[in-house]
Amino acid sequence: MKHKLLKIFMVCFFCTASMAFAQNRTVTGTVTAKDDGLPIPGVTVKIKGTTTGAQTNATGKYTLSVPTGSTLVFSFIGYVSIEKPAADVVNVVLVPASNQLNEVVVTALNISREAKTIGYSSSTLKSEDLTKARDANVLNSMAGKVAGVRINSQSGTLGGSTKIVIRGVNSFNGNSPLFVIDGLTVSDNTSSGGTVANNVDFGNRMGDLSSDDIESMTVLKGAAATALYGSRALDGAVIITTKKGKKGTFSVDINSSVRFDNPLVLPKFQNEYAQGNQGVYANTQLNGWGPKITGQSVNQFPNFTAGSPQTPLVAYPDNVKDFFQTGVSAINNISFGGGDEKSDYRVSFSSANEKGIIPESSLDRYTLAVNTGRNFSDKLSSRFSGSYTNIVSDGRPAQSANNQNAIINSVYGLPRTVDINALKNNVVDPVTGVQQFLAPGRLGNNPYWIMDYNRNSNSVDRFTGTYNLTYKPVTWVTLSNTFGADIYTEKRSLILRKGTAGYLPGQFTKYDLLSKQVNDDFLATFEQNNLVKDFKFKLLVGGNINQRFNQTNQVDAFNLTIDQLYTYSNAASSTATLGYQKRRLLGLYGDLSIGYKDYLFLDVTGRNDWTSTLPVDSRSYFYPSVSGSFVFSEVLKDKGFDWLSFGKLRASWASVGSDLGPYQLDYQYSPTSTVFLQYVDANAIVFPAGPIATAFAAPRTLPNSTLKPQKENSYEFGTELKFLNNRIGLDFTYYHSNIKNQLISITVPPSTGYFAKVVNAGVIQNSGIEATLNLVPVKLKDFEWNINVNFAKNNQKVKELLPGLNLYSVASGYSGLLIQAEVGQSLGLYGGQFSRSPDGQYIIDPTSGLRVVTQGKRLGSIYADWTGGLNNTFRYKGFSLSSLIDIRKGGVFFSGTVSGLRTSGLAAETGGDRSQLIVDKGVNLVNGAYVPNTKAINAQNYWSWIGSTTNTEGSVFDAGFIKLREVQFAYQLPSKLFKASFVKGIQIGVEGRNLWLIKSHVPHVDPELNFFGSGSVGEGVEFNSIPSTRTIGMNLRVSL
Amino acid sequence: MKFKNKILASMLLLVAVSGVSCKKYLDINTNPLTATKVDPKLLFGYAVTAWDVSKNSGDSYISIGFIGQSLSSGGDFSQNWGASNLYNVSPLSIGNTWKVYFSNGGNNLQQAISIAQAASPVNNNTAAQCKIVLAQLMYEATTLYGDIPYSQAFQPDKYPYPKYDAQKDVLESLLKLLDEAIAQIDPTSVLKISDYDIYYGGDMSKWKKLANSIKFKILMVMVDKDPTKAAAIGTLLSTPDAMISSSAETWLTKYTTGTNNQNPKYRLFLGQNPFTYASKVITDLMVPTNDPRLPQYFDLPAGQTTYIGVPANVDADEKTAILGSYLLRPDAPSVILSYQELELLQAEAYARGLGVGVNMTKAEALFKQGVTDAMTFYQANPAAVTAYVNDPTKLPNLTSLSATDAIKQIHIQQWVDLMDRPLEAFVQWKRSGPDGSEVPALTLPKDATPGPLIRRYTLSPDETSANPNIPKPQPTYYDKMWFDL
Repeated sequence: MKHKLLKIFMVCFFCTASMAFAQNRTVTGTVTAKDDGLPIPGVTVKIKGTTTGAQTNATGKYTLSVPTGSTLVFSFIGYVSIEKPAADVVNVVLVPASNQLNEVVVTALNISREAKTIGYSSSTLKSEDLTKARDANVLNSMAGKVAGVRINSQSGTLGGSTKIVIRGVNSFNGNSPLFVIDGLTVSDNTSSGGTVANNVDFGNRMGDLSSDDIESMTVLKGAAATALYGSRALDGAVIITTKKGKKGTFSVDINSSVRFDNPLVLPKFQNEYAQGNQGVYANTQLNGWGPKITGQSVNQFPNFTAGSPQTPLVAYPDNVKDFFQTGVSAINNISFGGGDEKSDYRVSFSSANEKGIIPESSLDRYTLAVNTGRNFSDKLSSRFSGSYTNIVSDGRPAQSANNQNAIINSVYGLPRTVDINALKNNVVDPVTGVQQFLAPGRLGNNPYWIMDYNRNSNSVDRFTGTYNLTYKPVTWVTLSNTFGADIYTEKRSLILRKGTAGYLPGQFTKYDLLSKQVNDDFLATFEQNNLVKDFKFKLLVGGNINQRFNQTNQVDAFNLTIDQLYTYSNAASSTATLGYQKRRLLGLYGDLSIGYKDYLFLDVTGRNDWTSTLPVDSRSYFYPSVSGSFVFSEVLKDKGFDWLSFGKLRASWASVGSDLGPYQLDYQYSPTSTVFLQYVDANAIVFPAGPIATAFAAPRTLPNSTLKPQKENSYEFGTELKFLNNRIGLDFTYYHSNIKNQLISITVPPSTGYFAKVVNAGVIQNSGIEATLNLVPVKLKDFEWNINVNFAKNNQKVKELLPGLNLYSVASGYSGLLIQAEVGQSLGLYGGQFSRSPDGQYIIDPTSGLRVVTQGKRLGSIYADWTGGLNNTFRYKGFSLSSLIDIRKGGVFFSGTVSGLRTSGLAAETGGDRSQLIVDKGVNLVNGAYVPNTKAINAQNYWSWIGSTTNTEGSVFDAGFIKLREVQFAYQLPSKLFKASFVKGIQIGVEGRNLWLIKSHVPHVDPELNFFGSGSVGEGVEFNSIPSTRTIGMNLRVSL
Repeated sequence: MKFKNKILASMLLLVAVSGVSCKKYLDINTNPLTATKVDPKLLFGYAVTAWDVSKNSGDSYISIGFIGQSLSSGGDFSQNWGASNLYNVSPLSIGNTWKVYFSNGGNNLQQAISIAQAASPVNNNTAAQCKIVLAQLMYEATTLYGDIPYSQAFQPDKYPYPKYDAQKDVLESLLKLLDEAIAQIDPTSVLKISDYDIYYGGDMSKWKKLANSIKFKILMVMVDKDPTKAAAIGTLLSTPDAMISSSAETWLTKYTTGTNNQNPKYRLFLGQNPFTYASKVITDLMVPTNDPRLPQYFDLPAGQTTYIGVPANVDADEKTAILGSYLLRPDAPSVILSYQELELLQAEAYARGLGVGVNMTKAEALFKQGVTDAMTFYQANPAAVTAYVNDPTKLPNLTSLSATDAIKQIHIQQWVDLMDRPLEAFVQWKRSGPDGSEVPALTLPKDATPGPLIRRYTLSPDETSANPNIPKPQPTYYDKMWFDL
């Protein structure tokens, strides 16, 4: 600091001196921006070859005393630097940087930096990437666009959740990238998948965002990029910046879409066989194993009893398809914005009103967002950005393996002889008021009963807001504080009307969720570009306080007296369960950036966190990172490498850690109202049980008071290259990370009294490559063709578990289906596998004619070998056409829907001529020798076995697919049309999402469905999930 | 400089202050919704409930009912079960049942015992009550799984990988545990589980009788393999009143019609068609004599007059008798150890001369009373019961039979009495005779893995994956356990 003062003194001295002795002149001028014509404050104006300079003030004006003959250099982040000879008045118009050379990236803690100075890979999506073919869940708009970011919509549930995985899964117990909106870390909580028995997709909280309010979304993938966020960004971070008002005149933007949805994939059914068993008709069965449909007269829905009128058996090939309706949604946004030199503001109102493909499902979302900034003086400025969101949704269907209230079970499982219209018109018996079940014996819920009366609904009220205050006591020091809060309440309601099969007395469950996150970051930035010649220094130190609080109140009410009255006093019994979690985190961090001559950059960061959730002795932990970049094209400039427009090498290393959930250290007895009851509920309410009014249980997971934080060590390097005047661009990254001290609940022998114990064990390694190629094959005056190809390959490997332990379960499905970690492998799907002879043929039991199965076998990786996206954009004058193809290669997928369709004899492949017996191709093991199988079995025995959930492999498929993810056609009306009017621009467009599953290896369902939900590590498994949707819509944008 | 010092000083002060308050700020890792200390009765209440619910759930009642052929699945005719290889028992059922014995049930009892014994003054009665229940849990575990961890179980810090004790040692330890409990009972002390004692309301004299009854039952399981146990059987037989001595003292869990408090079997099917059928093995025993329990055990489908059972995993049809709604009623109790069971065991001891001289007259009296009490317990028509037990063509008089036939008749009645308790029926079948001579004779279910009959649950998958001390080689489903000849 002393040195700096000396420098300033020297400069002043020389200035004064030269005023006396040399011919000096005072230059004044205004710097404006080319894009909006407005003055730019904070532009650096320097005398070339010296460290002397000035900055423009809030009105873009500057004054500088310079020697005659000097050249002035004007530079500002995000704009192309410009040089001008000194004159009395030098007004400059800065042109925004169009290529990556000067592109600005928002990095950790919302620090804007020039892309070239960054030593790690980051990807930014701009507002047009997100609002082109808008998806109601903004995360879905990222699908296929960013190398190394995998987006999975979990189900076709309206307002359903979306999973995001950045570069591979790092932990056994969850994957949750950090989301940051305008400096505020926010919640992406999800309904976490539910259970096998009852799984309602209530969406994820990032789906609350309105894509129209987002200016940019930057994905920070590696540890070095997120090191400043500390323990919370182990899985990467998504930095969202919301739109601000533009300086200038008042403007209004309207973006309006209407879209139509239908199921992307529906199963193919046989339409030849009725319900029954072994070819004999039985109306008690909900399947397709009955006789051939030949118009024979039988007792069937709704007249089951013998003696009541018989009707002919007829196949209804479209009965499933006709259940689904065309979904309609309207997504609208209107925003007002403007600003002057001192202030700017933007107010935006968004609405999404949706009606789903499942009857009675609906969602309405309204968001009011405000972003407003004010410069109180040259030194003090502030900004507030916040939004309020209200969501009301109804008819979120249950998905499950074995739940009579699950809508897809009910619809797909309909015998082929059931007329969907008959079901629709006969929901309730008009005389008795009782549900007309699908089969006698109160079996099988009518799907219209489920959607008419047993709707699951939720409503969300969410407020997020941040307030930033920035003070610049001197030009090279910035002090800033950002305080924010993300608060929401969610109410969920799950209803089962009296008379529902499986729940005849009726019941309902209500949840009240409250989540509060408060975050404060204080940052001091010291920037020195004149300290040492050719060097730029920037030092940032800061502190972070974060508190997260969750409270849940769940009430289960059973046995309702008055039909359809869902209040606790109408229930014979109700049980309330409370949940409470509070955790705090304190962090101190620093970041030193050094730049040399605009082509060599180095960044060193360090952060120390103190968390409330770890033992006192290990609650403090430190993580450092180093990253650097070398823009070699700057060095090669003017040396005959004209074909190289830009070239950069980057490398980084980081070590980060993470904590664990609260309250995992003490030995605690928990009050409980439930026990495990197989085939009823994993948490079947039983207490108070007679005199046992309350019950407490010892923990099932043995706590461990000596836990350490997780630690990730990672490095990455990469290059960015641009050739032929930016016509070709290539970005390549290799990364490698090792995450050790995994905080995992390791299974212990239950004979110890416990299911699991929390330990630090295991190492997961993720390594891979990411590549993005940009091509502009044609660029004419009126026509441009852009191709963007991205590719990512991640190799996950479990390097280590506990000594002696080779297999660890991270998620479980049904009937032995498990997602497990195995040393030397990626996380995989495990379960029953068909046994094979040494030459790879199925071993078939000679007596039963069925394939022999071995349990507990690895059936494949749940992750892709690689993923890719192909984006084509054509522009001709005002027209633009773009398409996005999303590709996944490899991995496996288990479909419970396929399993059900096959065991029940409804799938198309179970049909055909069933009089032909099936001799499964394989061998019998007879007296130690393999002989060809000759045992013939009928279709029912064959398919019941192939599809049985015991034989996981029978319903496991290659998860690879090619999807036409997005197509958008837009036309920008020529501006001369409304030159004289107040209209600034009009664009109309047609857009489609998930249009075509070009290739898939999975029959009957979309391979992207996932049953475990976005909060779980588990994926690649589906049980009667709501089919994903294809969307086609129209869009109108108007700027006023 | 002075200014800078001020800044420095205030920064240091700030760090110091925040250093102190940070510690406090972060000390919030205590869950406000859980307890670190509890009354042992709360753990007892949880353990006995979790255990009984599991026994009457899909994991135990249904699974073991099918493999032990007390119940029939009805094959593909069943909307609930479907045809399968019954010997591929779901690893979930095997794992969940094990978890109840060792964690949800066993460990909570163990914790309750520790708390009771660490209390000052020592809460001896509570410890005894928990030990008696724990003994029954471990008895069930070893008779289902064979060798199990016992001496090193429930001590995760000392024994993270508990070794497996031989079944003989486990059973011997359980006899000791029961003796320990009996010795610990202090009838004068008010320190005990009383309101949460859903079995005997804190009547310690009944607990003492229960402990002796469990001992008797364990000894009867052991005696074929270890004839020296006959002496201890004789001792208990000499004072039968020291054991459960009336139907009113039968050890059972009561259920009610109250929501969520119904018998778990009711909760499985909710009064709807259970699609679970009469086993042909049991109808073959009951139908020829028109056993008065038939209408209690089974429901006749509409239009049927005879009870038709179906063999294991064979497709039922619309004529097959269905598992009775009487057994599945909401307030059906769940029997753990019944008076009639003890009577029949005592009859067997007298018929076989175990620790006492062979006394067929005494055996006959106990047998007849046992069968009467069994039928009465299941609320069979009293007149029909009287007629049945007094008709030697239906219930033979043991004194008129050869010793072998008499013992077989006792075993038949023991097995029929246990139809609604598949876990105990399975043990009874195994102990009823050496391999091939069990009562009743069972045959391989349709489509079951060819080979020997199933005789046990295999090891819990949670143990095999996490405990290096599991027996090697792992027992297969047809391996006989120690007591099983």
